[in-house]
Amino acid sequence: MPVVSRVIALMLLSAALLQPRASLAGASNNVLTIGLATEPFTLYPAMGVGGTDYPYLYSLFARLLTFDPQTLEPRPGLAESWEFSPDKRTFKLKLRENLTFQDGTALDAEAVKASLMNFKENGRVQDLEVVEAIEVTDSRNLVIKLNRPYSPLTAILADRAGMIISPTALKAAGKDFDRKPVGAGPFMIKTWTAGSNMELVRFPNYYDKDKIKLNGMVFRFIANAPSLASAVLSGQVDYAFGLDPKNLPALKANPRLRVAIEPSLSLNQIGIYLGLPPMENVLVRRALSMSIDREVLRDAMLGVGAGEGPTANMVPPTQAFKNSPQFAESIKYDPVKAKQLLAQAGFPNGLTLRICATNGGVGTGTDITDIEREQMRPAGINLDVVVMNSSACLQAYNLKHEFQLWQGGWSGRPHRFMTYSQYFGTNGQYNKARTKFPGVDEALEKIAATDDLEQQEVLFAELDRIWVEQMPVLPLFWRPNFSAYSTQIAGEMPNAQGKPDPTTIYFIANEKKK
Amino acid sequence: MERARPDFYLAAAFLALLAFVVVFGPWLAPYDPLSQNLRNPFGPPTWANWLGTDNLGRDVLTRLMIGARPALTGVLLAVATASLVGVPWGLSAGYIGGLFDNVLMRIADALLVFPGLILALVLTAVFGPSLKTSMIAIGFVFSPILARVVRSGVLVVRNRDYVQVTKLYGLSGWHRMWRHVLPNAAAPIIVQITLLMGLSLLAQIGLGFLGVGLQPPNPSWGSALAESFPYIIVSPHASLAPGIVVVLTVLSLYRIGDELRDRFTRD
Repeated sequence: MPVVSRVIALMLLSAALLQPRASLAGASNNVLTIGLATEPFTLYPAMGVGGTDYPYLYSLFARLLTFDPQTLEPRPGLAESWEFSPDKRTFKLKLRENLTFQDGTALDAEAVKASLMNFKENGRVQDLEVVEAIEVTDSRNLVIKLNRPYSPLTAILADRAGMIISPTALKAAGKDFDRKPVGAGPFMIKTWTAGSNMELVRFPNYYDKDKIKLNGMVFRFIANAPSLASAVLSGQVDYAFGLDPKNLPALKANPRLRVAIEPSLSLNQIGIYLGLPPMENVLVRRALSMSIDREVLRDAMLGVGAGEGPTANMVPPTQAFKNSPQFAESIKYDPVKAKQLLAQAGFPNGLTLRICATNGGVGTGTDITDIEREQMRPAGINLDVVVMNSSACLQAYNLKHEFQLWQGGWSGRPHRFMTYSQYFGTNGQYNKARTKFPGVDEALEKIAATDDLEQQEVLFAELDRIWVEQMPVLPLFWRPNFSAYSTQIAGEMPNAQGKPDPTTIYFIANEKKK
Repeated sequence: MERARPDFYLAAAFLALLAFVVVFGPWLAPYDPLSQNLRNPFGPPTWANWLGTDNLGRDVLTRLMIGARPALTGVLLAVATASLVGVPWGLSAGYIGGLFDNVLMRIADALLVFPGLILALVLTAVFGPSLKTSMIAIGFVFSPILARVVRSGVLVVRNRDYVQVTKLYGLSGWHRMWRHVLPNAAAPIIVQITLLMGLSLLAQIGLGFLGVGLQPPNPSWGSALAESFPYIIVSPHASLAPGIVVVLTVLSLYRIGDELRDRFTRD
């Protein structure tokens, strides 16, 4: 590293040092320090919507089912076995033996029922809207009755809805549960200092305790990208997730660090609110998509050739669709054709579109909108950018509907069905204008009713095709996870979802001693 | 009359150059400030790009020249707002005195204990992010500082003979306040205004850095710093040019303020 870079890294570090390092952290105490850019929005799974909460949630809560971190196939969790009835309307679960929550409450079928019903009735997302009733057969067995066939339930029970919370703690804490969370995960919360850090200690009765090697973890919230990179460069944190790719050259040059660039389901996108004219017009949306050179954007944001490349789909497209000319067409930059489409849509002289952007992240602020504006100009689109902080921006776009477009990201979901239904289904939570796209709800219903993978694949290919025809949102490029690990640690899990589960990491020296 | 030290002339020359760039910048700038060359991000200084290029390969010198106009007009807007609010505020409090003075000064104290930049951020959040809103907000935030200075000046001169004598001529209180009290209390106000110019430029850069100042695509000094900051570990030179321009401008404004203060004190 050049001298100036060292001086700057030192200055950033000294700012980071103003935060006290948790007293127990370090290999000698077997406590891992993790640097993350985002503090949790909430630790109450039913109340959460942000993708950045997951590293904390995975550490605190055990889920009914889990999924293979690479293939995303369902795996046992708190439930050791499960079974769908042939008509996919009844789902049986059998829990492991002798489960307890971190507060000592028994984790039995009644507790699971209470947690699921709480999520269904009070949750901010509609993931369990399909649940009609839950019957407890005995202390380890329960039956979930569904109001329609719904095969993606396994993925949903491996997500927030399946994070079982202690009924005793919920009753005691009420709305404060998000600050005093009690689950049955591998770690328990010890302290949470807002704006600084969170300390966790190992839960000795975790059902899979042999996989957990650490005595504790300390999460440090370092929102500023150069400071996060400096913290891992200087050894203040053992592991940093969500690093800005701009800092990779400095991180890679450090022999004490291992840099990981993993493909993930997360991507950068331009969100569209279809309730504001002229975004309801599909020709305008298609023109907008054609006026973006996704490859150039990817190269500028992540580095030349980085990641899995440009995409026009929110999910990795089916093989059948990926090989189709429509797919190639959907990610092609063609401002001339875009201009023609705009003329057809009634805008021969072009139009102005308002976008809300957030400085600070990668590809969510003027770093990307400045390029997009220049790319769109030949198509006759004038991009009017307003910069705000992230929550104000989301509020203005999502709730107040002040912007047609939003520059943001998407962290992915464990099942393609969830992504498509949330964005594309008429009642999807991100389909804010409740637009009904022809053929979409029908295809989603058919997917939910079958677990025949071949049949699902055909239906997903159809959804892929309708998606690029309709362009309800503009996905731009896949965003890999950029992480850096100290060479003294190992054991991290692959993380296709872009939501790391740090609980299996360990200090190499401590394991050798054993 | 005693001559000023050479650094005063340097500061004055720098500000004169800046004023020239503010007026003629758009015609003098070598490139289009929005024109990108994504193959040449963070290019070093060359004959073609005297101060190098930024993260999108845009000419840094051009963007700084174009950014000078909003930077300085923003400062003038903030200072004008602070003066329009702060001068009558301090003048009336100092001249009228009593309970009226007490109430006005407690309001000033209440505003002064509030962190200025946060208040400006709140105001821009309410009225929307733009250079105009943010600079009026900053001017408003600074107005109690000016009000306090004006009041102190007025307290010194309001009972002087030349003020009292105007009463014998039957002139109105309004006339006395504006024509006889204020001009004689003006020296510290002028010095304070030059200091506020520097402070408002720094506040403007801060708000621009946070994205609530001048909105894109218009280049600004604050956004130039914000855009180069994420690269500070790998391309530290990128933050230097906008940083140095801001530092020199603020130092020059303060130097002029120092000189004015010295001259007024001597007089």
